Amino acid sequence: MTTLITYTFLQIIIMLLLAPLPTGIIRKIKARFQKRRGASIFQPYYDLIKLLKKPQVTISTTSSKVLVLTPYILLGSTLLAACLVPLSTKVTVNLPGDMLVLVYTLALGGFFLTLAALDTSSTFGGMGSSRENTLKSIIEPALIIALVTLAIYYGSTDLRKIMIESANSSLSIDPVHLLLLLALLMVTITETARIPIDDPSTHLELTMIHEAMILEYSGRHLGLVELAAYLKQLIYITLIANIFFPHDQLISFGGILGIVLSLSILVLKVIIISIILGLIETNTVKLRFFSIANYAALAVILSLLGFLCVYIF
Amino acid sequence: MFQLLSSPYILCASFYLLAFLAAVISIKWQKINSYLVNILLALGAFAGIISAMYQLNSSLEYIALFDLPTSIPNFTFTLGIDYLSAYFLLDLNLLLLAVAIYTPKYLTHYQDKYNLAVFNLLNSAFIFSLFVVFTAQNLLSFYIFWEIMSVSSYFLANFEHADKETQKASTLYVIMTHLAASLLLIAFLVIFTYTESMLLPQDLSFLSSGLQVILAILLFIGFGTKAGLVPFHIWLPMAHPAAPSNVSALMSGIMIKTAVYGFIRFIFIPFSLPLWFCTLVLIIGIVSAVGGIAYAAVENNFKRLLAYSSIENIGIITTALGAAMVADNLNHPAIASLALMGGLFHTLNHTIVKGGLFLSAGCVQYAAHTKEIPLLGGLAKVMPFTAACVLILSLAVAAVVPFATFSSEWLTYQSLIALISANTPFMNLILILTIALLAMVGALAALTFVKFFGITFLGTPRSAHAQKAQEVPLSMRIALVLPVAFLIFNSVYPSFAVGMITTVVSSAAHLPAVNPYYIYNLPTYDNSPALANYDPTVIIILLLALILFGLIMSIIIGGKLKKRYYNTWDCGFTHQTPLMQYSSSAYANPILIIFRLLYQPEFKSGNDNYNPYNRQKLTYSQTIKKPIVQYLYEPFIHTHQKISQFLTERLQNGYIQQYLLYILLVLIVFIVYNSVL
Repeated sequence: MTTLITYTFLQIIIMLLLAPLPTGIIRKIKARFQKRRGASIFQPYYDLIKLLKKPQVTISTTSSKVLVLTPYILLGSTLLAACLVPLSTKVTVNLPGDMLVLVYTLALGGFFLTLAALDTSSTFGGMGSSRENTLKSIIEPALIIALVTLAIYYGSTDLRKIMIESANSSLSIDPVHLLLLLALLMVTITETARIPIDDPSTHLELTMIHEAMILEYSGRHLGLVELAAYLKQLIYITLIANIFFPHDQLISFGGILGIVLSLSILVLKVIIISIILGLIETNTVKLRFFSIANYAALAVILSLLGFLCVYIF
Repeated sequence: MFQLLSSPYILCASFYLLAFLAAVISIKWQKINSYLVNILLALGAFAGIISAMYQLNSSLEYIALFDLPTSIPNFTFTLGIDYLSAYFLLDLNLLLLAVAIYTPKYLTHYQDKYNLAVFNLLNSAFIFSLFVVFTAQNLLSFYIFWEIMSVSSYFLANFEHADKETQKASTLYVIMTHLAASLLLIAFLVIFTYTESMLLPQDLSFLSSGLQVILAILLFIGFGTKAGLVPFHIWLPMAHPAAPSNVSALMSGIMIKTAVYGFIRFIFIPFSLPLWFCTLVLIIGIVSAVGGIAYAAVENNFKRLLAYSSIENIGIITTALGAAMVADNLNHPAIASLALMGGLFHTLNHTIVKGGLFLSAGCVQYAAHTKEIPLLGGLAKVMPFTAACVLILSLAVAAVVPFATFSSEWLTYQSLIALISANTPFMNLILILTIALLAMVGALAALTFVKFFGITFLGTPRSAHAQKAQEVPLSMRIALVLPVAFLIFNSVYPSFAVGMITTVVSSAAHLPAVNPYYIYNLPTYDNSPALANYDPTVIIILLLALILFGLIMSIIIGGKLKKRYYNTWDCGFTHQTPLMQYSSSAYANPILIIFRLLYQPEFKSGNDNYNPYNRQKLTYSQTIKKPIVQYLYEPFIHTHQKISQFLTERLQNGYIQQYLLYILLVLIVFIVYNSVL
């Protein structure tokens, strides 16, 4: 029990510390491609700390308790989801929750965030909320098919078990993994509100989705909401890193040293995937809102093909 | 004959009967009538909850309640309760307790328009008939009380009979439900001719497989109509919103569950059906789930939205039952057991949640005098208590993580996943699509209930209706707390409900008991130590701890929170009006456009004068189509009308000579028939 609590606590700390990093890297890559120097990759950390340190928040007069409660519930549920993602197979404790619990925990945070957007009675909030929920409904099948296919391939819906199995199986480039990887990448881009689905750097444009929802947040509440968004991004990146590119089979020794080494390789993988996400972002243009349905359909088809490949190869 | 007080169930049933008698006696004094009847019903509910829980946690597999032989051959009025009946009685009474507390105050807003005593009379008859439907051991008595249930619920749904819409809706309901009941009667009579007994069928697998399929189809359509499965659902989104909210709660909460009871009792247990039929049940289930939530998402009347959501949930339950049937057919009893548990647990959760939501819809209606979401807004500030209850119930119906509804959906997901690796590839494709659609249903449910709660309770009031709203009376609020409390109990400690369900599944359906939240060694996963692992209690504790962690962290970093209240930012305009908020139909519009193949929406806009610089009034309307009604029911109605028209014009045209000719023809036919044979 105590080991479970200790490891969970450590995992939370690691996830919290690592969370803003991908965004910093993506912004840097973007700046470089635009021939700018760009801010430091640690800029999101500075922003977060500044926001969290602010003692005062401005709250809309038309709002109810939902607006104030949402940042805490959103962060809490996203942290719970972060606990459910296995970081390293060297750590032998496991929380009683599988991939479905992970997906539906993120849904809890999403529910509150989209409600809070309606609470401010601003037009932007409603627009963002409606769009966010629409995107979720059309991208969810792709996510679930991809995850369930992995579960069937490795014989368990438990993410940690999947990670162990994929580390044990020899690294091979087969169609199942390639198709699922592509589908999950597309889902990650949608869920983390990046180009071509949503442009995180727009502010007050009619195309925005995530920014529109959090428009009325300020101070530490904004900080918490942003932190939750970073965490969610990290959760998806870690999932991809640990399931498709397992590394624990390379480390032969266990113990504390093994864990530390395993985690540092994980950080490296997160950085590489962030760079790839940054490259995707710089090389695509934002889609029109109603053509995102085609994008989602493509993701569903890719993951469905991946599922069918399990029975062919 | 009587085994009076041999079991507390007798107490429960007699309270119902007393309530009925009290309603008859005090029919003149409406106010006393309301209180008396509902107190008796609440007492009955209480006795029912205690006795059902007692039985489900004991080894009393069957309790004989009542046995009244009649002079009609093969018809005895026999009531008995096994685990399956007890489980559904538990569902009924949990909801009834809340409804009985809710009803007296809620009815007061009908006081001068309608006769409340008649309502209470019908309501107690309805409750008693539900009780008998769940406990009848004789097919005829089951059928008779099934009909009483249908008729009394028809009158209850038609309570606001001055309203034309209500009349139309309840007429449709009574027609559909009687057509369905006639199919049940046919099936029962066929069963009787083969078994020569009117007792509940235990095992009919000795019948030829063709006959079994025909019987199963008759029963499936019969019960499926009551359940509101696509394509027999068209009465449900009309009748449930038309009824008073306490009746809608009972109808959506428990009456449609009689069909789930029927599926298990009359189809799942006695028959051994071919794989294609089991798969068909699964497909109809998931199609109902998707169709239900798709129309709920674009609905603007909140009671109809909840009714569509009931179709969705009964679809999820049927999907689970279908999965159980498929697994049973393919000889995977452990998976079948898991799926059936998912279905039964979801039945209980949906009874509580949807019952509670319809009660709160009644509260909103009571406070704001409208059922239209677009007219509401900002109710959370005037009705904070109701809003909190609705928020929790909405989260539950969207099946997000810490809630019991997720736990039951999780079981369904797990059974489907376990089935996939046990099957042939074609079956697998159906199963993976079912899983994908279940995921989409979950996300659409979130959209629907964010819209429902967000537009109704958050923001600012959009009309005078919402501005004048006030918090509902205390007794109605207490009634709302009950479902929330049951839900939270089920969410935090699902082992209690799941333990009872395990008893039901292993005794009634003869399936092995599996430990649902830590699934070891399912037959298909011989190599893996654990398929999955989910402990709702730990997850909830962790979630609460993490929310607290966020709160404490933000206080440690930023110090004590200072709040400053200011207007919502309005892009520099001078004044933001409530009508600038996102509206209910705008919220669902992207879904409407993306799935336009299903809805086939038509948008119309116009203005009353043609001067583009001085527009006085703009109109905008959108209509959606309902493919089932359009392509299935309308051609049928059309053909039926044509045939009737032909008959009245040609055959029954009023000429006496022609009628004499018919008599002559019939005579000739008989003569020929007799002489030839």
